[in-house]
Amino acid sequence: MARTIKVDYLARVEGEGALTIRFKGDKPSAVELRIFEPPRFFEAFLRGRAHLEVPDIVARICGICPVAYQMSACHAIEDALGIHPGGAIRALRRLLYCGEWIESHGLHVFMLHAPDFLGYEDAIAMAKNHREWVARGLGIKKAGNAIVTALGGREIHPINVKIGGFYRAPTVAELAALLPDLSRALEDAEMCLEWMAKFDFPAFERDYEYVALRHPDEYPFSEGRIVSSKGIDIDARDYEAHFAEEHVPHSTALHAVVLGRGDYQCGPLARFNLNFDHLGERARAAAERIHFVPPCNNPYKSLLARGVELIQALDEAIRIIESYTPPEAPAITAAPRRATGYGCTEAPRGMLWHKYTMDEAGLVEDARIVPPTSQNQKCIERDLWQLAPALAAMPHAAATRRAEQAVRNFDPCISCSTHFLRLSIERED
Amino acid sequence: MHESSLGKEVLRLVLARADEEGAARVCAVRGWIAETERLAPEAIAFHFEAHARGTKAEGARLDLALRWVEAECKTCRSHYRPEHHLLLCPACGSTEGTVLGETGLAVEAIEVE
Ligand SMILES: [Zn+2]
Ligand SMILES: [Zn+2]
Repeated sequence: MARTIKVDYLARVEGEGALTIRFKGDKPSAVELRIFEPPRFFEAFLRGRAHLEVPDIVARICGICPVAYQMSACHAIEDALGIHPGGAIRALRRLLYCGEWIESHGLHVFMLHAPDFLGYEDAIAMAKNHREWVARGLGIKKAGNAIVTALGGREIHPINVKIGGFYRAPTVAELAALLPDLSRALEDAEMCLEWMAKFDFPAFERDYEYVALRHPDEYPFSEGRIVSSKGIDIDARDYEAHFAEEHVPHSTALHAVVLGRGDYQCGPLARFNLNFDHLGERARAAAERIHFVPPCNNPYKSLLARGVELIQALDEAIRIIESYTPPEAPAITAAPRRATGYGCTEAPRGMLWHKYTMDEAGLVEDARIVPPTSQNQKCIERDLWQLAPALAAMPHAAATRRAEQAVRNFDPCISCSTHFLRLSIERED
Repeated sequence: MHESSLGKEVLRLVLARADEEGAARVCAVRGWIAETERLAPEAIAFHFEAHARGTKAEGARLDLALRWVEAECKTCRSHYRPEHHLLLCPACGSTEGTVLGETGLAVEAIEVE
């Protein structure tokens, strides 16, 4: 017999993360970052599902970057089907991607990271003294939301995307309606970058291996080769021959490494360092005005890389809309076939790699997803390792803040709340 | 990925209540999440379903309504919907305000068999 149990349960939503640093004498002997990472059930979830369902399923994996999950899945499955949507469909996809970058970077930069730099408890406290900057940030973020809503159908989880294109292409007028807010957001983003350039950036550098997509003539979203600052230059289908994910004893997370070398960094600073020459005029000029040019090996300056990418994405969104003519058909189709396909796109936080094997009927036999979180995890720990002596010398609250700020150089997802980290420093003699 | 730990937490609570009530199976879970948390209900539901595999809540739907929480401006008294907990009055620009409802995530009812 079915019945309903009344429950009265209210949870405060908090980030959860723990960082343990152990010292032997004055040298760190262990640095362990525990951040909740789901076990890899996605793959099991996808097995046996129709390939056409996959983009909608994977969009639900992450609330911050659903578009990236959809796009990597679409590209991988289209690769398997042997189709390559071009023209206006490709332009609309780039526009949708711009929307997600603007939204995610806007959240990351203004709501989470800027308060760290300015010494505020959170964006709420920051708004009291910097109301105009927080308001500009919200305006920028909303301009991104508006693109995702216009193209995706719904703000948080776009449902309009499908294999081969879109269910429906927007009209010229629908997109043109976005232009006034985008233009204002672009000007605001330029002002914000100059404002952020004056922040106090902790002195910290490391010899990173940067990994990002690189396209022959565009700043990368969803196409190009996987390249690194230490010589990797491969097709997405060869990822598994050069990178591996390792189990780590202290965490449920998998840590990706470059085979034979170790940790690497993906995300805005990696893209900026590897693709500076492909930035649009406006973004590049803005970066040069604040003397922010590659190589930059200070991870805290990922804040500025996000600022530059905000300008890039806003500028590109405007250009795409201004030259838009609707496609003849909103999507192209192809019959299923037995094949394996690969897709790699640049989620706001970094590369998101997907691989699917389908059978003759188009049912998923095998799936593998490597999210940016697992790729940057080891890199974050290495940063914290280098930061450990400085943290140990600081008062506990300040050290916790600094560690949070360092994790946030990479990720808004694992640190949705401003304060998410429990720091413990242990000493053994 | 934050959604995953929340989905797991909701599942833990739901399974504990179902056991207390001697239920054999959980069919559906209803609740709400405040818009200020900027969390996607679909994503939490996805992770809930994924974690629920192999438990008595396998196949259960998690239905979280997105709830807007209003705030009242202390300066001009107008009501508005804050984004990301931010108290920024759209009418007068004041940062002084009172949140009029609860934020966070709530579970209200569990359907069991
Ligand atoms: Zn995410
Ligand atoms: Zn007011």
